[in-house]
Amino acid sequence: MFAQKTKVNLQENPIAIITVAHPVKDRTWAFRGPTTCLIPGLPPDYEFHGLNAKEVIDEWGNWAEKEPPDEVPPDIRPPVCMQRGVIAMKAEEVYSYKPDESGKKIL
Amino acid sequence: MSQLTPRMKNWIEYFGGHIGTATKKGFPTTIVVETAKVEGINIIKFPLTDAQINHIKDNISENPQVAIGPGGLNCVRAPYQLKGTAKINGKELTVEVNEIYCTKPGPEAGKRLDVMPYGEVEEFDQSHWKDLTPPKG
Repeated sequence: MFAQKTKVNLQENPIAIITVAHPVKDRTWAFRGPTTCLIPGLPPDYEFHGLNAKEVIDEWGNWAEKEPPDEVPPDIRPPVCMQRGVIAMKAEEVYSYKPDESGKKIL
Repeated sequence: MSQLTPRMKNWIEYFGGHIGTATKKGFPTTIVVETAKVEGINIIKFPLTDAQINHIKDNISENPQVAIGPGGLNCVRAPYQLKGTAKINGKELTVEVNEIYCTKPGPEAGKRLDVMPYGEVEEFDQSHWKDLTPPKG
């Protein structure tokens, strides 16, 4: 069930936004651009905007093993960290979501 | 009709939300609003700045469907996604919530809550989390 809806949505409409919810002041960034879900089993030479799928999966495909979420309290930690893929975005636009300048282009 | 639980209301009111909008063709635009007010069982009102109104008004007029997650980092602590119908009244975005999902990573990601009897949704909240109100500070 993990991320199935996200995968379906991205197949239908591969443009997404990521808003950064970082507590450090002024990191009020929204990234927008073509987005996909890279999954194990893709052809080794499959590329998404210059990203090689195999390299991405080798590096990020099992993030929980590399960086176990030990600091996350048990009640919000996934019961099993079973990663199904890696969301990859080509950030073509960056805009601010700061309330007084929402939509102002940064890049 | 969807009904927000006290926990959902508390977290949305305290932290506002990340609000996703899109054109009819699906081109997305988001804003982040730092506070909100819940009225009744499923109406959320977000105060907007002029910049936020300008940023989303065209999307809302052609496609009033929006998706909301609790503001800041609180999508982690309060992993809910609310979907509903929005309209802009003056300097306020009013959303009538009609779908509620759990987004907690794991097998419950994407679980639709509003189709469950309300008592079961409250039990779901209480069995998963003890912090019915967000931490102050």
